[in-house]
Amino acid sequence: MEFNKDGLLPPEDYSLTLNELRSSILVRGPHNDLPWDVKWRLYLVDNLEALVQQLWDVGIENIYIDGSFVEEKAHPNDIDGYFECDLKELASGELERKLNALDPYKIWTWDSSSRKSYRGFTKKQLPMWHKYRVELYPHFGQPSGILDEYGNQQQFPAAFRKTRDSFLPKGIVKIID
Amino acid sequence: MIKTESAYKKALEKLQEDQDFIQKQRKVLADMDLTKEQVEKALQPAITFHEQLKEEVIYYERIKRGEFEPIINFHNLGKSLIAYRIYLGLSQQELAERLDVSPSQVSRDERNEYYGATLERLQHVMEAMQMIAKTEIQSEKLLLA
Repeated sequence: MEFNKDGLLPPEDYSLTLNELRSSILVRGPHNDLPWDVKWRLYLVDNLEALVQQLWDVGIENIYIDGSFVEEKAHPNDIDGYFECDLKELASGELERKLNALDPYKIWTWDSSSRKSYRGFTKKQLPMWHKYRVELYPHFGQPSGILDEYGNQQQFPAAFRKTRDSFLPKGIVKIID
Repeated sequence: MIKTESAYKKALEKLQEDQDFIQKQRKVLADMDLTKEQVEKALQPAITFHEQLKEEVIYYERIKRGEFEPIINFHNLGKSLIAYRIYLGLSQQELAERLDVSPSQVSRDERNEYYGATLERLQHVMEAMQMIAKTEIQSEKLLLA
């Protein structure tokens, strides 16, 4: 795994366990003289692990991370990502209930009204971001079947495989057990 | 962070696409065996994602107007340097010329939001842009009051 000239992973889904992630270029850095905050990146992965474990415990398996964490950025603000889930379970609130039963801070919600500002940050963030600095979105498949120009389904999978500001295609990481 | 007019325009297009998508999705979900409440619950993640992009767009518009957030203890100083360059309408290349460094150096610094830059380098960038940052020292109690 190596960053390209844009500081991105070449477009591909890279499957890694959490320990492989910890020892990867994404945490250890690209081995040059440029600054790289290994301690902070490890802290983010530890927090990610707590949430991934909760997702695994409720039977969610396909979990992907992206954002500036998977880019050549010394100190990313957070880890972004998404996971695949069942529509009915999400819509009924059952998924949130099961996850919140496992999380001591009850951070699982995607209700926009629960977002709060954090000083100096452009946008308001969900409770899971404030507690863990990790933001994972559910993706339930798209009944509308709309595809983007790369043939990806619209919304989360497509959005997460492009840079957030300039929409360049990039690789992301699938977390495996 | 949106840094260029072309990225801004793409973000505006994306906002419109998202809005259309959410509406279509709402209709598709309503045609399935879901209550109105369940449809809205299923749409929450897409709406939150959409709102966050909207806030990025608003932030870009604000910095283009020259409206900057206060910098607390140099948190986000790096982001403010980028915002000020955008406000001036300077490209990374033009800033690199003013600093007498390579454009890739500026690109890298901005990608890292100036993480790891020395105080002297930050000062140099501010001077190259004739940016003035006034630091007012307060006790935490007073700041939060």
